[in-house]
Amino acid sequence: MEDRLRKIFAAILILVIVGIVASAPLIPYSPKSPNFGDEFQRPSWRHWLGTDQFGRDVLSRLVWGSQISLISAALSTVIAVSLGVIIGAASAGVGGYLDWLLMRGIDILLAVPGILLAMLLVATFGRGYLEISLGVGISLSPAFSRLVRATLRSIRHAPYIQASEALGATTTRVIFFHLIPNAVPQIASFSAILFSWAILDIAGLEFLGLAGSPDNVSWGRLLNEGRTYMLDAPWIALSAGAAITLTILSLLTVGRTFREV
Amino acid sequence: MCQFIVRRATGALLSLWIVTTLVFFAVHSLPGDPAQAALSQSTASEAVLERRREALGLNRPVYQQYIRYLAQFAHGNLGISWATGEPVSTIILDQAGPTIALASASMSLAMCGGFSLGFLSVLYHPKFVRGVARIISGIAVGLPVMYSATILIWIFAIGLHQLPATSTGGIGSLLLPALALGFAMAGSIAQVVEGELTVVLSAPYLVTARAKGLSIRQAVLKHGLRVALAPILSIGAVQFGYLLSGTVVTESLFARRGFGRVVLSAVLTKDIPVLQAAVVISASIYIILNFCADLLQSALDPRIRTS
Repeated sequence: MEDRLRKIFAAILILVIVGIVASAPLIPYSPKSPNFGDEFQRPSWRHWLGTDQFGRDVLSRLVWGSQISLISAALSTVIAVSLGVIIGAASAGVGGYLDWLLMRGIDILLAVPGILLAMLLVATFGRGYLEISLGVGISLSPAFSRLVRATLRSIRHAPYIQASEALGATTTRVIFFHLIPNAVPQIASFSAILFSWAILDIAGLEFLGLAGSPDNVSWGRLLNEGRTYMLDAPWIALSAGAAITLTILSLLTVGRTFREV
Repeated sequence: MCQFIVRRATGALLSLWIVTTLVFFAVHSLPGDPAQAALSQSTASEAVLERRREALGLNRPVYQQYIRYLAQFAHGNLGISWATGEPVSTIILDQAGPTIALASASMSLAMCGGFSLGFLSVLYHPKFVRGVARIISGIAVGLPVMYSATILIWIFAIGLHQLPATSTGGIGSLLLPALALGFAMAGSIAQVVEGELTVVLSAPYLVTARAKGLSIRQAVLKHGLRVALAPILSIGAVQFGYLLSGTVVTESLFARRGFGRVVLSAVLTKDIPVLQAAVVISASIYIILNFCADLLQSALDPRIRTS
């Protein structure tokens, strides 16, 4: 029973996150144009999370910003998961020399801190969100390949796989028809956790002013802007940070629920 | 044991060489002319650019540049910054002190906090103590440093007028940044400690220890901790990568000097030699730390040596 409750909870969390991104076109206040005379309003029924230094509604800006922050994080998750599944499956499925070579390569890539790699890519290719998603995705892929490899290896010699190999299945067939389908719950669980890391990294780059232009409304930028007005209007930074933290915690919970399925 | 050390040391040196090589070729395959980038807006005449290329050795074949680069790295010469014209090693050494202080302070806090939380969440009664410890480490794992630091500044520096939010020197100014950075790491350390202790608790040798009359706590401290410590050490080394990305944010938030600030300004000014050196240095530290963790692990748990 408790297990079922947790699954329902996880589903609700996913729906909330998708809902926030999808509701961006419906926000009642403009996220960008200033409202003079409405500056630094406390949270109230009119402005649930108050207003910022230009009188803009903080909640509307948060919902608007969720698009760019979460969609680019999702894109980098897709990149990291694809790379990770390809490398991990090749490594665990084929094994032998290829496995050794790929894993030594991954070991070496893991030595370079992900955020530094992403920053190096930002410095050379620019601050566009596509470049950033690519950078973060690449920097997260080594850790994910390792997880995928470990999961697939644990089922590589299971009796049903030995049986299908005895019937003449090729390595390719084993990888695509047995290994990957049987690891879907674990891969989904890791992906949720990876998504939370991507959000963290992208919000960090936004916070440092390395992602997008100052014109972009994003969660990391909102937190950084709000920090300046911590004394007079703490609600700006507090709600931006809470949005990031709650999303990350939800994804970690979802990941944990999947893993225990 | 000796053979084990030699094998691991060779592996570490090999990884170091591959990382430096990869960085060299990655930077070299980038589009754009470094000499032009070095003279920022490239309004310089062709003759000046040519002299610059000569000075940087850019007009030689790639393999000669590569050998020169490796030789320079081996001598501790990390190149010249494009932004300031100073040697990169001087820039980084100047800023290393504050970062080492911040890193060691936050790592010690993280280890203390992580161990206490991990122990609390497995070994202690009543049950709600364990629950609270798990919730705290769960939140710590998901709380971004930039948010916890903002909240800490708000509470302590603005609300209570107690500790300086931004200043240089002194223990007081180190406490808040180290706390913010340490808390996030404490969460993941606590979760690893918790997992390892749970595994150890059901191990046969621990059942024996319990059967001969030790309490759970005595049994874990005397027999279990040694085994559980090995994976925890390697997490400590892995956390270094997190520590480094954390210092970039923390140092800019608290307006501290340090390595993270150097990296950030290098990204903003596109100062590739500095970034290149930063990548190589942090990879080296990571490889060395992992090497040390391997040695410590094998000293703690001899089974690791043979596998």
